[in-house]
Amino acid sequence: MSAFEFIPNTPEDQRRMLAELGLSDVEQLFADIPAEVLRKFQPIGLEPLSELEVSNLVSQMAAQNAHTGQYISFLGGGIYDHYVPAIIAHLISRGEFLTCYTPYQAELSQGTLTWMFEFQTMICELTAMEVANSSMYDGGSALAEAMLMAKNVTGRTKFLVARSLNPYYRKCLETYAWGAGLELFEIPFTETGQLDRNAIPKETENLAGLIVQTPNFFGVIEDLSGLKDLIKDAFLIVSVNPISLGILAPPGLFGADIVTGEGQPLGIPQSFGGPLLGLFATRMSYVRKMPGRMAGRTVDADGRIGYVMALQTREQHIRREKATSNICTNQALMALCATIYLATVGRRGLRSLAELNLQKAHYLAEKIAKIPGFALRFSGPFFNEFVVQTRKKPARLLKTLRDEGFFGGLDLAPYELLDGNNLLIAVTEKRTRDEMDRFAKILKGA
Amino acid sequence: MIWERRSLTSAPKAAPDYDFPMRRPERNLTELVPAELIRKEDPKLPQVSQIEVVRHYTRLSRMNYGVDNGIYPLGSCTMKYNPRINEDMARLAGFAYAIPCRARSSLKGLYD
Repeated sequence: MSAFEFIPNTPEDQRRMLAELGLSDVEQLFADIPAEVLRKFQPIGLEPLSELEVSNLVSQMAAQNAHTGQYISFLGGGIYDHYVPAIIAHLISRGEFLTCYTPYQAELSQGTLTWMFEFQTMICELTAMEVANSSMYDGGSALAEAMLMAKNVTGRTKFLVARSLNPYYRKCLETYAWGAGLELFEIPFTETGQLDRNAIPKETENLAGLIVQTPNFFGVIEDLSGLKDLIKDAFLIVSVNPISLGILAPPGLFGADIVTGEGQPLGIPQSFGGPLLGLFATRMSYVRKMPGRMAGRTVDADGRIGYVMALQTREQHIRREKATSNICTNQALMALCATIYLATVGRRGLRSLAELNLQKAHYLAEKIAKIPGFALRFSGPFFNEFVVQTRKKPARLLKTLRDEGFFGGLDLAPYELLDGNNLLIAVTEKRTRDEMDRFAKILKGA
Repeated sequence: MIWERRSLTSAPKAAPDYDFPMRRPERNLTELVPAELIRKEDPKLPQVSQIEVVRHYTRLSRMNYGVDNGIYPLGSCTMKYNPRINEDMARLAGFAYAIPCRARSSLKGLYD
C-alpha cells in the first residue's frame, strides 16, 4: 500500500509502470525540471494520518469556529443565513454528480447537461432575461465579467458604478478594470439609499454601462424604471439577490442588458465565503459575447431530445486569447444546489419565502427604529436587510449581542461609505418573532 | 426536464410562518414596497412534490458517468479519487456555517 490509503497504486504497480517506461525511479519522471527550480519545492513535512486521526483533527479545528448553527445570525452583506433543505446535500452527494467530469462528452453527461439547461431556464425565469449561462464563480466576478462583456459589445470603456454597490464587488470591478483599461465613475446615493439619478451625466459619449445592485449593499431596493433611457445605448447592468426576485419586479422588465447575482442564498451554505455561485443572464442578441458555458437542447439522429454544450467557440478551450472569458468549468456543483433548491421551493414557495424575508425584516426594523438612540439610516424601500444608525459604538454593541448568543450585524465603518456608527442587519426566513424581540430588547438595554 | 413532472395544485411551505402568517400578513406588502417594484407574474419555476424532485435528480444522476462509475482517463481536470471524508469534513457546522467578516479570534480553526 502507498503511505496514503486513498491512493490506489501499490509499490508493485509503480514498479511495473516505471519498467514499462524503461525507468527505475519516480524522480526520473521529473528529470527535465531544472535543479534550481526543483530545490524550491521541498516536501512540506506532511505525515500520512489514518482517516480516524484526520477526522479527529479536523473536527477539533471546526469546533474552534463560531458559526450560525450556534449563534442567531443577523449578518448579511452578500452571504445570508437561509435555510438549506436537507434534500440538497443528499442529491448532490450522488457519486455520478460529485465525480463526473466537465460535460465535454455529451453521451456521458446527459444528467449534468439536463440540469444545466434547467438551471439556465430557472435563472431566465427569475430575472426575466432571455438567456443565462451555467454559472460563474460568485456574484462579484459575475458582475466584473458583465462589465467586460459590455465593453466588448459597445467598444467603449467608461462605466458608471453605484456607490451603494457591495464594496467587495467594487474591488472585483476595479481589478478587472485595471487589467482591461476601463474607467469607473462613482454615482452617489440619496437619503433614500437609492441611486442619485440626477448625478448620471447627460453626456454619454464613450459610456459602456451603468452598474447597479438591487437590493443594494444597504439592502435598499433600487427603482430601475427609466434608468435605461438615461444611459441610452450603454448597458444597464444589474446585480440581484435571487431570493428577492420571488417578490420584486425582475430587471429584465426594466430593460436591463445584463443581470448578474450571487447564488449563495439558493441552498448553498455560507462556508466562510466559498464556494459561492455566480449568476449571469443577458439578451439573446448578445449570446455570442456572453462569458461562461451554456447547455442547449437538440435532437439526436433518431429525433430524441438530448442536451449538449452550445456555442462553445466563445470558450477558452477553443481559443484562449479570443475567448469571451476564461471562465469555463466552474461552480457546477453549486449550480446544481441552486437548481434543486428552486425545484424544491417551487414557484409559489419562492414568493412566500421572499415575502417572509421582507415582512420579518420590516418587523425588526420598525422595532429597532423605536428604540431611543437608534434610527433607520435610509428612507427607501428595502427587502431583507437594512442599515441602522446609532449613537452607540458598534463594536461594544456587537460584543454585548454576542455574549447573548447573537451575531448582531455588520459594522459598516471599515467600508467608509457612511458617516457615524452604522450596522447592516439582515433578516432571513429563519429568524423568529421571539428571536427578533429578544434582539431588540438587548439593543434597548445596551 | 423537471417541469414535465406532475405539478402540485397547492404550494408546499418553503418556511414555517406560524408567527408571521403569510395568508393574513400584518402589513400589506404595498405599504412596505411601492407597487411598481413588486412582481406581477411569478417566475415559471417548477411546482412539484419533494419525492418528484428526488426521483428526477436521481434519474439524471444515472445519466452521468464519473470516477465513481469507472476509470476516467482525462488529464486537464485531474480525474482522481478524492477521499470521501473530505465531504464530511467540509460539511461540519464549524466550516459550513462559518461566515467571513468576523473577528479572527472567533474563527481560530479556519485561520490556523
